[in-house]
Amino acid sequence: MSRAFLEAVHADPWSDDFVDLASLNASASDAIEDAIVKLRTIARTEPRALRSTSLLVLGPPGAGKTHLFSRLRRRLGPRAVFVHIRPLVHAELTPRFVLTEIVQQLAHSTQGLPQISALVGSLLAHLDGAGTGFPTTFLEAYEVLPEAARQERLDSALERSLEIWPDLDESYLRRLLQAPFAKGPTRRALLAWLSGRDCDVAQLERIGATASLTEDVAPLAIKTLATIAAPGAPIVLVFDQLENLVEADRAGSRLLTYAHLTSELVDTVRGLTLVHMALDTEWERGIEPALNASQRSRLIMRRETLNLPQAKQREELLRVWCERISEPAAPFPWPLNEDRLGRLRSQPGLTPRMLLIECRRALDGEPDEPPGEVTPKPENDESDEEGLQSEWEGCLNRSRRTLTEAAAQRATLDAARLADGLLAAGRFLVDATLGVEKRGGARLALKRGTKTTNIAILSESHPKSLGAALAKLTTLAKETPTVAIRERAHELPPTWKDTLARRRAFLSAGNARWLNMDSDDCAQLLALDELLQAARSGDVTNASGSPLTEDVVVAWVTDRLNVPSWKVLDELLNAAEPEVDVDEPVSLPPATSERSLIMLRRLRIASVDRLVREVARVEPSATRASVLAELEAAGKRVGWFGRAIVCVKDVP
Amino acid sequence: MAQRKRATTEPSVDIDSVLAGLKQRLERDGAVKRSEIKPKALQEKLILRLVEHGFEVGKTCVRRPLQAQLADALSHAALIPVTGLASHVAGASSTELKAAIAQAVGAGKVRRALRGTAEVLCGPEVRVLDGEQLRRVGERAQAFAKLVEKVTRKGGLVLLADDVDEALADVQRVVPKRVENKREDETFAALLSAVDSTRDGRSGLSFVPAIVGRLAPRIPTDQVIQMLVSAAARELLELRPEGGIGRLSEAELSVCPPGPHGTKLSWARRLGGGAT
Repeated sequence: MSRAFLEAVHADPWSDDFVDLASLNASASDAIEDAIVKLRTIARTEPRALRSTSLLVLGPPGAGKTHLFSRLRRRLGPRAVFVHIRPLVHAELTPRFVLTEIVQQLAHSTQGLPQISALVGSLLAHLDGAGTGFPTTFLEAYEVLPEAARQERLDSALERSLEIWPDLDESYLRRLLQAPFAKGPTRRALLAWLSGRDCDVAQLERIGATASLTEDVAPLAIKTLATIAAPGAPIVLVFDQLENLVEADRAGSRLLTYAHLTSELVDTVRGLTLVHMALDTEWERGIEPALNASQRSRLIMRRETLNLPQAKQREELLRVWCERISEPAAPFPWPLNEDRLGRLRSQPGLTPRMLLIECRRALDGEPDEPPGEVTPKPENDESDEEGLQSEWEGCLNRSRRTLTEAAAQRATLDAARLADGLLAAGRFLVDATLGVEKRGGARLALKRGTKTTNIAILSESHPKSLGAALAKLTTLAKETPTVAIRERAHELPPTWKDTLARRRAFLSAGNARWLNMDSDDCAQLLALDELLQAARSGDVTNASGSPLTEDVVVAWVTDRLNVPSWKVLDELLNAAEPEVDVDEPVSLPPATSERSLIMLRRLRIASVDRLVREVARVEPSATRASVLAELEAAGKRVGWFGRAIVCVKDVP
Repeated sequence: MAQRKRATTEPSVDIDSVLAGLKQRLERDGAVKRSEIKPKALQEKLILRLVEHGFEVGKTCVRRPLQAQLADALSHAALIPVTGLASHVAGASSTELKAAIAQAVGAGKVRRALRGTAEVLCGPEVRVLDGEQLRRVGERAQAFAKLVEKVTRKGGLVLLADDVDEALADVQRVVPKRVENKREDETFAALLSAVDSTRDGRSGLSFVPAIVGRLAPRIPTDQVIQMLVSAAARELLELRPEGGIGRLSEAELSVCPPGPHGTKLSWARRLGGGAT
């Protein structure tokens, strides 16, 4: 009940149903809104004078930084496009990562309207000289047109856009304009292409593209998006939890990469509103001193420090929260009493989150703890354990949701996010270190003793780009041990013959190893990354809502999650063992083995899944990859029905 | 065509709600730029309505009356250096500010006092010595100084302690007597003055260990901590929990008041007529 209450009233950035007290931090939300409105006005009246703007929002943990995002999203509705970005802490922050985040979140809805529809609808309205407040009306007018007529009008809109902004990317803009009208797989393919992800052959064919966007096109794509969005629904990029950049790298290189990237965005992109959010002290003492004057002038065009609620606002907040309690036993101030309410009105230093926790404690029937009478905390507090377990499960659920969404889009996980997760898990390795080291297609390196193993995360969807990546890794594997990681859900289909041949070449190149990562392994890595970042930002609480320090969270992870034993890390550590036989690929059995074929002869026809299960029952070391390799080696002795069903052809 | 027609239609605006929003901003920020008063077509009308509600129109902005802003800034016996006044009063040029101070001084609502080498402003409730009192203090102090000089010059002479007590009491008698709670008010004034003088111009926040350090020779740390908590309860200050991760030293942590949920209150922000 109580935890459900916390989650019900606490702001999720994408929730449409949350409690908001408009007077609280009105200055910060007004400043951001004013910046957006100003930018939109300039975009309409003097498009060539348009520039980007950047604001800084600071506050202690629980003061409502993330809440501002939700508030502005609700207040501005389709008049702005909001993008919430948690920075990569360990892996490198690139324009492509930012582009992917923007386009992924364009698919999110605000007030029932996908942000991409708001963006394109308001652009079309602006180009027609109409008001941009009702993008849906314009989209509907386009949607009822026959396809040829609609395409003609979109082409005309494209031409007018290029007349106003001649330096935009035409092909990017053309596909962006088509996205709101596309359905099903075509829409998925368009969004995948627009986001800069690697598209598979079918997706490219579907949208008439010859190749996916390359890394060097990402800045121009962001520029195109921001510029055309500015007259109707300007893009607001909110970088949250920036304090995580401080500790991750004492040398400050991640911080400087972030500052460099965002300064570049301010300089080269027109029409963006950047909002940087961080803990106040961490920014003042850890982040800002690391920036040079030029970066400071670009990042901090305006600074807003969030205020804490005053007595009246506190009472008002408590009142609206209490009104959300289903079946209250008495009118407000229940579940508080007058004394407790009085204390909460006057006690210094209470943030909105602390008030919420106090409200929840009262709801749970916990006695009031006047200031200075804090109950001593027992060792091995069960409340901490319960809270951390719950936080961990929450992170896992969110990660699984991300994986499900990616699966629905038939997209691989973002390699940078996955690398961040792996690096977060690397903190818990005892006798090995995992770090960033770009080399010949690999992006990470695992060091164990004197041995270094390169790690590549292969998230490519197109056989050619995957083949190219494998070719680079083959060269690398001839020199040093190399592990290629790929999601098992995106295992190479048997029809990718050339790519499979390249994988074989890679595996026979020397110290090479192929690692299929299960969905749950991916979910664990993403969840761990999220949990550790939340801990650093002071957002992890125990069961009674008290914040837990990062040290407590790290100790719990070490004690309870046993990260080094996670399958993916275990296999990586095995790969880094010095005794590994360099001549023999580890993951795949010799292609001459016919155990899969023997099993298939017994089954005659089976799904690949069942065949893998049956083989694994007899030979526990068998994996899906090894079974597929054997089937592939069997050549014409097996027949395929699509990618999932296989039969034996040489039955006597 | 129908779409173009819609574009030229002026959206209806609820003037009262816009006005209420502006008033709220003016009460909070002290001033609002003219360019931020929207919609533009109704700007003049809105400004007129604001003037009717008692707000002033400056060169580029509308603001709360300067006299009211001054009075708020100097409430609770606050002392503000003349050079730092601009950060307490919004929407005024330096010329307007000088004129406002002169007017307030003329009306007896504000006093200009010299503290060491700095000129500060204070409200009428702060105890001061004016022209006649200053002359009398000067006469008595000079008489006492002459006596001390004479004794020193002649050599071998002493002064009776009772006579010194009497002479100093004679000077003290000119100083206006404290009414009840004056001592506390003065201490509060010193606290608020310390908060102002340690304020970071960028964030508007004052670091609590710095405030304690500023007052330390005169007021014990425990008393400063109590005063901070008391000032927060009176909504003169906002005390904020530390947002840093292991940034404070043990010494700094020891002078920060304890906050809720095991936090330390390491930052202070002036409320009301004070700093932003």
